Amino acid sequence: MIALSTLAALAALSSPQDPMLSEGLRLVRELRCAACHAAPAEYAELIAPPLGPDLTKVGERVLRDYFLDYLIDPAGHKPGTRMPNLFAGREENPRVAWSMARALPHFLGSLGEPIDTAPAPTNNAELEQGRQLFHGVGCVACHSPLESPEDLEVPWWEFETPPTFDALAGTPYLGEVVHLGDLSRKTTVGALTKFLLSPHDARPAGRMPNMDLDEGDARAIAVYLLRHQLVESATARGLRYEYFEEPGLESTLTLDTYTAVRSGSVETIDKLPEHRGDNFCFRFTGEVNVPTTGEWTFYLKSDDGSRLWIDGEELINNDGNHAPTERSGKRELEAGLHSIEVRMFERGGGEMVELQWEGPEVERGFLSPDVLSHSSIGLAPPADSFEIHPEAVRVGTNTFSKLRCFACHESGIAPVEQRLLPSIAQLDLSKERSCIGTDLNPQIPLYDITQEEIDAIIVAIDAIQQGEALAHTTVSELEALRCTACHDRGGVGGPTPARRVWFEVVGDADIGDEGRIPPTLEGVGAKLRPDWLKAVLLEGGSARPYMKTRMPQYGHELVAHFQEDFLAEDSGGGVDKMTEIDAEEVAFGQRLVGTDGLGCINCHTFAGHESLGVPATDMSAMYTRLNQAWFHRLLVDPVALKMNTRMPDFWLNGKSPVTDIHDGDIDKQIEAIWSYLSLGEAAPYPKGLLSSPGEFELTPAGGTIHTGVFMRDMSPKTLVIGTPQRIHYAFDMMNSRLGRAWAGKYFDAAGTWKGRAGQLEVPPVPWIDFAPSAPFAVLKDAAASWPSEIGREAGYKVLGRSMDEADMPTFRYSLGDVIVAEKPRPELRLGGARLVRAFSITGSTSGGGSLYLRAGAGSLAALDGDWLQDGEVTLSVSGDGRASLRGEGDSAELLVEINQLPANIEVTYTW
Amino acid sequence: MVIATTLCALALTLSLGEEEYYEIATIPIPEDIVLEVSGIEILKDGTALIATRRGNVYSVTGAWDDDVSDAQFNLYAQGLQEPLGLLDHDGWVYVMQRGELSRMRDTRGDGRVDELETICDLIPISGNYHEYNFGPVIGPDGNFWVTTNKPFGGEPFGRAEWRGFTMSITGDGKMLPTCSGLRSPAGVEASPWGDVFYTDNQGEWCGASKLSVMKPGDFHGHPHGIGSCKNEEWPFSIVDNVPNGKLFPEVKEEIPELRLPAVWFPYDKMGRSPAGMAWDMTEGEFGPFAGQLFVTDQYDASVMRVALEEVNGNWQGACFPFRMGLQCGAIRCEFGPDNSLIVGMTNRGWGGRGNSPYGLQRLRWTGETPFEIHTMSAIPGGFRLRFTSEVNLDVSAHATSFKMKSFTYKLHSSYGSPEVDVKELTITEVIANEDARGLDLMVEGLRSGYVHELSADGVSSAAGGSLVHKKAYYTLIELATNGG
Repeated sequence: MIALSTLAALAALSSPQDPMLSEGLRLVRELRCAACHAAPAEYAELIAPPLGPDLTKVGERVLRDYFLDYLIDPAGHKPGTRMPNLFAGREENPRVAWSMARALPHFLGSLGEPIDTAPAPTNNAELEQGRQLFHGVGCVACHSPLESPEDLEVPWWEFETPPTFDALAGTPYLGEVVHLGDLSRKTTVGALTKFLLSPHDARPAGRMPNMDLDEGDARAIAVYLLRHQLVESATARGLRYEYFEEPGLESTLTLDTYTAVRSGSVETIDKLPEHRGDNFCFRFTGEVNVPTTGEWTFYLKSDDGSRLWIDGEELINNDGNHAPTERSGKRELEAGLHSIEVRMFERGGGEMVELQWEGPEVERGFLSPDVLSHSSIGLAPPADSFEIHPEAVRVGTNTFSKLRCFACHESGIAPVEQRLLPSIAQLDLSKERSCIGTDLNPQIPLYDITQEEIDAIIVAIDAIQQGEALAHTTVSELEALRCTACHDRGGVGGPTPARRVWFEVVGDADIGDEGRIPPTLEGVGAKLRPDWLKAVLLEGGSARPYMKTRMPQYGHELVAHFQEDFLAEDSGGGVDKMTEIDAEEVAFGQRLVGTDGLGCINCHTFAGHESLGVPATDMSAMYTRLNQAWFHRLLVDPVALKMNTRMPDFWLNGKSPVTDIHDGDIDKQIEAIWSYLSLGEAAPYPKGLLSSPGEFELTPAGGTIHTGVFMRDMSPKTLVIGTPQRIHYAFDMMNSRLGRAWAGKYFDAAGTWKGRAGQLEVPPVPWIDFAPSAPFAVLKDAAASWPSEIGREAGYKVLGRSMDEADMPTFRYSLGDVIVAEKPRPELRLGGARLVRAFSITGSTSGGGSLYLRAGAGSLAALDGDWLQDGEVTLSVSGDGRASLRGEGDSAELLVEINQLPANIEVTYTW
Repeated sequence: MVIATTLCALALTLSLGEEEYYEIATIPIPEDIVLEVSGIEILKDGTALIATRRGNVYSVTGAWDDDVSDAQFNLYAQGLQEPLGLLDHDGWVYVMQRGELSRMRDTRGDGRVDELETICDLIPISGNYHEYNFGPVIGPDGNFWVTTNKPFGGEPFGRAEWRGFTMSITGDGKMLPTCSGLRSPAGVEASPWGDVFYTDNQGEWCGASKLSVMKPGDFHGHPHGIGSCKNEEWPFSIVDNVPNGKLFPEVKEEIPELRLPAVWFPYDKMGRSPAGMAWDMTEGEFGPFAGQLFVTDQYDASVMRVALEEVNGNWQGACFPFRMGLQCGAIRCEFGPDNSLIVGMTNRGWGGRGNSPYGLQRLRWTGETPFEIHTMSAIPGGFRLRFTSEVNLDVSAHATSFKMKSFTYKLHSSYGSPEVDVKELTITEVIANEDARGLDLMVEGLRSGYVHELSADGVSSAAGGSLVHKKAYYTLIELATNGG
């Protein structure tokens, strides 16, 4: 780097510096030699000591008992620390060391407000969040991973004994590790959270960067790092809640697949915790303390859907999209604790949920917070073993001065005149009695450094004493800040083999290593525009939302010079060739970027709109980020830039496949794209980016349409049939079960046909659900309950389907020796929709019991020879079977008993 | 692909002339049909059945006429779930869908499928888009062989077993897990001699794209499905503890079940995403490569050529560039009744060369024989090159006419592998074959488990022409011990 004032010395620097000398210079600076030994003026900036941790408020963040342990053996607590042992030479007389050191904790503990050692409440979810963040956002680029990748796949709470992991054992090469030290004995959740949010306040040297965490993230990481402070799980009043945000909700059952936005505890569920207006759901979990054994009835009212489970069994299903609706369920319950879970979701409009109960000696009413509880965990730091003593503070202050601690640490105490130490120019490194010598002396600090490091220091000091022209190189500066833990430049750096596994993509972005490993800094000064370089270094500028690792922020003083360094060292950036804009060129560029051109948006995000494939960098930001010359080189031959990219080159035989723009001339076409991208977010959309309205909308006007989809709440193997009668249905081909029917609009297949697709589809309009069970069962007797299994587990086998002249399918499946052909058929009717299921049943039933068809389930009422289900669908049954209603309330069933085979039955659903 | 602007000119000369020998006809697709090709089968009457990712199958006639502009498309079947392969067999058309192997036919004779039977629906899917299934082909056991892709990302209906496997499915629907460790096995094809081969795409645990033979019990390198092997249905040994970061040949020493590929396709030099394939059984009507294998590449919009040989009981061989410049991602190919190669394309979700979202093209031999390396085969101490016509021995039969280097790949969790342990090899002697159509290259330091990359820049034909393609990549697994 050249951002030093010692330019005169630098002028002489022509040949590359010896790596050992570079390392030595870095060490002389990092070990803060010049804090005590004055540097020659021309080298003062070169080896200016970074500020040590700021101690003015250290008493607020470090537990009192930690101070002494740490001070008398810093490296024992934190191997590799730059903090010397100031008592090493006093070992011969430990009592002297002890008496000198023991007052320091009083002094340090007195700095700032007293530390808050109250237990910090948390829960498994927060601990898990911190665990994933710590290993995901980049902490482990410098610190050691604390668990194995395999263990991290399993939620924290599923381990009986917490997993342990020795990152240094059996791995190819982890590289240098910045030790965390014994955090559980050092600090508290509150203090560590504050530190993580703003690390430079306590550590102004900036080596620990700001990882751009929000308060929740920071606290979660603090909780995880201090997990050894775990005190026994505590039980709290009320229920635990988890809050989710998700559009297009139809049911509370899908909630298992979402990630909670927030969690906490509530005294009662009837007042929902803070939430957004629509499209959210809640899960409440905990225990309910039943006062008396007997029959208990629960009432669950909600808008939209909700469900209640007691002891893991569903008691009330009030699910679906609806206005405030109440449903109830009752059960025999023993006195004592029972697990309870309530879920509710809100899609649109008003929202509410209420849970009431009644039972022996309890009138109907809300559940009191006293009967609801949930377990939580808490972290408590070890208690302080002493009180701050004013006299000890005074003694400690003197010791602090005497040991020259102020040379490195700001503490609010004015430095005291001390005997002058030899300047760097005067140092005699051959003496055994020195900071790096072997002869321990009470006056001399002991550093935790290796012999190689000592050798490098000697080389560096010698060079200074000889007055050589010296400078830190850009690469050595990148190493000093550990930028090289993630990035490579000049053949140095990039994640070490053992660390590579910790770099991940967000979600399931399929862009290979380019999506997870931070970009190379080779030639970055030619690649990025100066303003964007600055934005990345200093303003949190980021172009890779798919990368889990975050670009840390170090602060202006430490990294601003890299902008100049990169620009000075990397040639080829230059200024844009393009100076004016031409509407025709823009139109060419627009076409080249779109799907009828080179198809850039097959992979690249554009102005925030997802690409058709992977989420490669946003094209609309490229003009602001990149130099034109680099962009040109990239497009001509992406692989030659060695970025590990999967970006294709598009050219064949020196020509573009798009022949009618600039006669296929590659250079001119790239320039046209650049013109177009110069419009940034304002660029008109390229073709293919947005599906035009109706692009994937299917309309079965000309005949029946069949579409295979993944359908939410049904199965990943669902066939959606659209008919010209505009009555459509979804048949679960995995479980041989008619699932849903709806009338009107058929279906928009964008989720199944656009890009890589794979969305879970739902019908475009309100639908009716058929009984969520197997259609047929052999029941031992009329009272036997309907089996809960479906599909193969219930003994079904998919046989296939046949199509009539109008392509209307008949689905064929078997249950044991019974063979069913089921043909759903839309019918016209006055004022609404009607679907007829025509069953033709052959084969035989072997074994005991009769064959039944379950035509309906839910709330059912007889109605003029037909049945009304859930107040909205009328069922009628005809053919070779006897229909009868059984059960009551919401769990009634309409069963058709089939005594003889073959049999033909039709069930008509009118809504 | 070649490097940098200055080399574009070189690329020009490298590929110039492909079209003189193989001409491309673009079959026009009716405007109302989105033909994202996912499967091709040619029926005995010459009708081409073309399956699409959207779930339709079209019967196409007129694709073999000299003038393809009158090709007719008719809907043959609809509502199939991402059908990625078709097979005409026993009077039925078998189709591999996402969740099942089915067969279908048109009993009414109106050109539209009216009967579909489920053969096997035991292949689990989780609702993840990447869980594609490929096939079927008839395997050496007479069963239907299919391959299953591993998921990428969320699995909304719960993790599915048996992803990344080869399944042998009996006619009555029993599913027999056969090979494990596949990644993205986009093409599967039975060879004329009965062995089934598949193509896999570079990615994690797949150092480079490859063509591999599949033998029961094989492990192909990707550990995703190891858990499934612990089910009782897996009758073979269980491969556990796959080391992360060793070289393929090293891992083969530790894990005998590991199947090394028959051919590695070096990344970017030979496409990036090999997919469908077809053996040339035209007996010379498609040019001089009778019996060789043609492989499409979905990234490169190209067709590549592979010549295999059996050495010490192991199938291995060389790949060569063949024909670039197709419309877009080439995913399927079949030989037609006119001995042309029909190629189906789609680039949906995966970017690549070309500027069409989908397409259907036909490659025909013009009758002119290209001067090419016909085969590269292993002989003791070197390789034998056979050419499609006589070579000018004075010019070509020198060590300086060739360059060779060898390299291998790492088996690791990172995405793809660089070429590692690269060594420049010395060609010590070049011996002409008696008929002047072949040269034996004696090479120092052949290594088993390594790709041997050949540049034959100095070769010229007796007629004075240079090679249409000067590169060949031989995957040397077994060293030849006799013959030559």
